[in-house]
Amino acid sequence: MSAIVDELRKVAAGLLKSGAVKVVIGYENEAAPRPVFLENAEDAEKLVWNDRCFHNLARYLNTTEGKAAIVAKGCDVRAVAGLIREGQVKREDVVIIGVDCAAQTESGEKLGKCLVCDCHRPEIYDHLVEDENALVEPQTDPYGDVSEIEAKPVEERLGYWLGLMERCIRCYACRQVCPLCYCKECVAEQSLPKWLPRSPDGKGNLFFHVMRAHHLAGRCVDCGECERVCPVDIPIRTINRKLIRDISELYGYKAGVELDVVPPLTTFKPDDPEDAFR
Amino acid sequence: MDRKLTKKELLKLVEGLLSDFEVWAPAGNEKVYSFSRIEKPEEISLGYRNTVTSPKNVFFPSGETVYRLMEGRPATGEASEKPKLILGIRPCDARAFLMLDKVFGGDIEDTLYTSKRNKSLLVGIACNEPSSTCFCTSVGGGPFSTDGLDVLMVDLGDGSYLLRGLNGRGNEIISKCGSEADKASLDKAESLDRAAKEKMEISFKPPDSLESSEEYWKKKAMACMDCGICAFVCPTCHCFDLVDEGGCKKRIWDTCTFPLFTIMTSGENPREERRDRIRNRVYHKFSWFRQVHGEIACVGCGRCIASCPAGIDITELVNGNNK
Ligand code: SF4
Ligand code: SF4
Ligand code: SF4
Ligand code: SF4
Repeated sequence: MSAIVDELRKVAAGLLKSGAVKVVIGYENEAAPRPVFLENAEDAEKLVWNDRCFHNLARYLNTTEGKAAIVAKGCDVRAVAGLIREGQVKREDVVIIGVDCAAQTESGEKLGKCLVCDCHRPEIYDHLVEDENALVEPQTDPYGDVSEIEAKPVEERLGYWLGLMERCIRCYACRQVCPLCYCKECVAEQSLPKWLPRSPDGKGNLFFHVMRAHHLAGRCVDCGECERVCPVDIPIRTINRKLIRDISELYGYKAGVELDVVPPLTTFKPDDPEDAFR
Repeated sequence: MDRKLTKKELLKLVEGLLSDFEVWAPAGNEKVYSFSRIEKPEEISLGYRNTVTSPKNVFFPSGETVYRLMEGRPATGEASEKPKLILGIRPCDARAFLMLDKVFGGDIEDTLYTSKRNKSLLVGIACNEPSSTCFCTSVGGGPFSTDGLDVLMVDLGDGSYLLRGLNGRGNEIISKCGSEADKASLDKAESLDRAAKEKMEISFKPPDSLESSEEYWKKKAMACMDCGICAFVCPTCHCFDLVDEGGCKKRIWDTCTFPLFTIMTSGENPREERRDRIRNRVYHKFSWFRQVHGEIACVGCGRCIASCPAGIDITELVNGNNK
């Protein structure tokens, strides 16, 4: 057993034993890690850690009862920070067990988000499980894919997205898995008034995704969960990252990094860039 | 009737079928296969294992028009001149249609479904290599099951296929193709069947009564995120909602795992808790459908296990703490 897992279990057991938290949200099942919710110190033995701990467990913070500790990678921590920032979770109600993370891999290949990751060590934490080997430099141009699509003529771009969107079956997993999509009632399901069609077709699906991306502008932390879970493999991250880049270029803001900076889209300044309203 | 066909002869057979039938078959890129309308034989991929989504969309598509509001008359679904033929359907998915037939073709006939399903033909392909999430043999099926099929194809592994006609209509479409299957091919198919059964990684006997404690379901449901993947990829899940869109009444897939599924106009929601929703899905398949129709409404295709974003495994839910 690796020193990392050892440390993880020790921290979790300590928190549960002392009563500091009611539940530890982590990963179980070495072969195919999945979320686990531990309430007893003895169960800390179940915790695992490897390069297939995909889930962003921040998703569960506002559905678990009582004070929780969460095992979190750098990108996950950004989502926790977002939830704190947006008043969904109180900082004092969550214990962040940050883990240094080199990359998560699918059939031996690093996930797209991990290739461009600049948070291998979480930026905010209460306990840090260190792994010096994990602190690697980002490998590629973080927005290469976005620029590539942007370079296409409008018609072609529309065709590209409509072609992909035809596949969407509206299972809403992309939304449900997203830690920042916590609305009790999503616009997609509102019926009075009805904003968008619920029957799946290319245009309606695109509408849903563009709407969702805009509601996440300045909030999406690029944890990539939406894209990972999509059963029909729609590259949802690309849409979100277009907005991540815009927000960064327009306002110099990055979501989920600092707890005390006011997100640009929740406030107004007379000198805000006009380009935001193109 | 047993015929033996080369790959080329199979493509020729499909070519011929295309003029008499509306052919649906697995097609797609390397990652996402689904059952799609086929125009040319080359579009078909038989090398896939289980498609991500099931073929239920052929007879029960999401977003189908029930009637047009202004015209005031029911549309009988998309009027298709030709009967539908699904080629390359897996035995589990073919069994699933027998279950949907009971739901949609019961005392009150659902003509949107039956108008497409009646006269359809199912040409299956046996599973030489079951996936790690498959468990058809535990719920009454098998990788070479012929239930619900008109023809079963077996990939003999040497570039040729064995086609077994299972009834009059099945025999009719294959009677003129290839050559009569020799004994060696029949033996080969039999040994592939045995080998496939041995390769099944999940095997269990569904319990007569499921776990019922609130505590149990609460615990099992904790990781669920209320999405609809499990039901939307499932070949037997058949719940739908009705919506008014584009001047039409349409029906769209719905699922008991969505929190809004049971909400009433008063705001009351009898299945507000996640534990109740997950329990409902499992009970419907493994208990209530069994009581009403005499069989389990899960064919063990394993899609929900493979696609669940939270790693929830229906076989674990069913088998409770005994596993
Ligand atoms: S984006 Fe970074 S922190 Fe997140 S999983 Fe990939 S490497 Fe780990
Ligand atoms: S939109 Fe996708 S990448 Fe962004 S926070 Fe939500 S799940 Fe993560
Ligand atoms: S997860 Fe994929 S299929 Fe499901 S609603 Fe989102 S984009 Fe559509
Ligand atoms: S419940 Fe799961 S395994 Fe059973 S038929 Fe549906 S998708 Fe397949």
